[in-house]
Amino acid sequence: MSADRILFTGVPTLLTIALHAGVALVLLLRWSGPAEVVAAVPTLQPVQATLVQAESLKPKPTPKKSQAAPKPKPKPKPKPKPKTDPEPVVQPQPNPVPEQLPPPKAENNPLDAKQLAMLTRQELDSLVDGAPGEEAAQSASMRDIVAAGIQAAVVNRWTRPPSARNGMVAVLSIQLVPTGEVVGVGVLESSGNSAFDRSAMTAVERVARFPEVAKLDNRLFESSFRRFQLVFKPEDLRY
Amino acid sequence: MMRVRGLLACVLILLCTEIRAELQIEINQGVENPTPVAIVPFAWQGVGAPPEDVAQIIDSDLARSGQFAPVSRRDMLSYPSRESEMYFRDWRAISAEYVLIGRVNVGSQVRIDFQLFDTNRQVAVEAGTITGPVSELRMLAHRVSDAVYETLTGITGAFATRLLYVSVTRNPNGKDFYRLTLADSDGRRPIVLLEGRDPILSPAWSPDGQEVAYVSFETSRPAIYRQNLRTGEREQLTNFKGLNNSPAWSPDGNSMALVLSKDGNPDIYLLNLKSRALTRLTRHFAIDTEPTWMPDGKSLLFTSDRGGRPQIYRYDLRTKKINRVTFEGPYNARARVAQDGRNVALVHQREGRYHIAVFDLVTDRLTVLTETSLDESPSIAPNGSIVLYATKRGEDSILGAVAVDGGVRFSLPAREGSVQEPAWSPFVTP
Repeated sequence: MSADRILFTGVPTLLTIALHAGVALVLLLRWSGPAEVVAAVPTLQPVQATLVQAESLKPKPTPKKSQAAPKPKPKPKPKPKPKTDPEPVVQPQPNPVPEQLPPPKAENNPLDAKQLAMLTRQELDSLVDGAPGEEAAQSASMRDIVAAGIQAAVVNRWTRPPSARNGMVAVLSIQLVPTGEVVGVGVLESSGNSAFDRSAMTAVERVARFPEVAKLDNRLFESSFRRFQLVFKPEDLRY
Repeated sequence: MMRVRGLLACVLILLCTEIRAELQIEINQGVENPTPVAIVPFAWQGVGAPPEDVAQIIDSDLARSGQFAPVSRRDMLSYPSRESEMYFRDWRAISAEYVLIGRVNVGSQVRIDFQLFDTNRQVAVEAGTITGPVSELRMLAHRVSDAVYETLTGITGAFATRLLYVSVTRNPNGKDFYRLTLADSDGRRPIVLLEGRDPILSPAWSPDGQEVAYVSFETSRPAIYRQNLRTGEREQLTNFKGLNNSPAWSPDGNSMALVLSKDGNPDIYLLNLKSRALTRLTRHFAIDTEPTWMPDGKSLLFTSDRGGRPQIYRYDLRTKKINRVTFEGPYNARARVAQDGRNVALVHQREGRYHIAVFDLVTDRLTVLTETSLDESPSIAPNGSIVLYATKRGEDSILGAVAVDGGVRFSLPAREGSVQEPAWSPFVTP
């Protein structure tokens, strides 16, 4: 009888305790043992990739509209402070920076938040120190390149109705997902000519997908291309 | 402390970048690709076989405009005639951006119901019903074309309009045979208004589209006539010595500009159609001819060689002042003004060849539209989109058409003989 009792009440209790202990242990280890993990990272090579990732992390807190936001949401800032002495990683940083190209698919990296946080912190430091960082410039030029690509794609698909006149202006709001697919087209400002407005929307719908956008890092995508405006303003018509 | 400040700075920077306006990209150019549309065969609800394929008429109209590329019926996966039968995916699969469906119902009258869908947004963008007599089925189909065209281009369609032209059958052994013909804007359903062995010239429309005027030599010398299209009633307006030429109805329909040489050499006169009072407008030893009205009725354009070579001049009816309009090239003549009062179609000579050109009265820019070399008699569609003209093909002349923006060119099917002096009707209220 008592054996049964132990079986029915004691075993679950023990299990529960064990589980809790396990969780506590894991948590403890996680909190206390970061040094080792960090140490392991340098061998991981993809430090450059990480950098871009970190960048992409930074703006995360702001864009709340993102529905299809990629996962890398992990705890953003709390980390930086506890981290006190991550010298080893910071060192390798500088040189890989110029490498901007390889990282396109930075989506899945499970590189732990700590490292990311560290990188972010480093970035912050550089910002505070007044070095604007060439990434800003780089992403600006990247944005221009992609914007030019979008412009060219739309120009090639835009058939103006014969009622179009130089000086007409229609502003469309375009929504993309990170693959570059158009998921929303709306008229923000009508030209007053519905055929003209429709021709502009049709042009975007004909393009349907802007492949160059898929190559962007998250930060740039979120800041500039998740939602942007297209201004249709013909200038080359006869009048 | 440093860290905290760093964080703050970071947050501030982020805020700033977020406040910045959304990225804007400007699109200033476009291409001249025709829009793919599918005109689905209309369902026929009547006795016997349909006398006309309404969808085919609309299909040809839109194709002729050059702004649309109709999808072939063979590529259509289904022939819906009601909204409930529309599967947008099917139409997107064959890249049709717009789909027109409809039903033709015949009773004592014809009734055409139609709906136009935007396949990208999957909504109906236009729907309508057009009714009329069975005998006018083709015209009713053209009116559906007009509705579709206006919705998609923002410009009134001009398919449900008509053309006047003179055709000449050459006779090597005797006198040529002349016909004044009235046809639909697609050249179909020609009706002969006048025929004979005497030359017919300068057909012109009254502004309400109910009457035509022309020059006939039937009394052995040129005289100007007007003829009512409904009643067939005919009246001789002038019978002066010398030239009686180039009638041009004023926009208000009350008077007619014409060319007479009764006082020596050709000059422009104004005939009041009610009082029959004749006023001389130009007085010059050079030839003044081919008057045409500005749409506001306040001034006339005409051709004159008073500067040595034929050029276009403008006569202001209020100030009676004459100003030269064209300066480019050695020869600009036979002007016709579009309803916008801005585009003027004319015959322009370049390197010894005669082309149809359009002259912009606002920018003074002249654009040559045709590449053929003996083009004459331009006439502008009432919506200003197309210039119809006569051009030589071999021995005969045929009717050519070119978009005012230079986009498309096509020719109308030649009837018998040589076709000359087309005149496109104004919009006619059904």
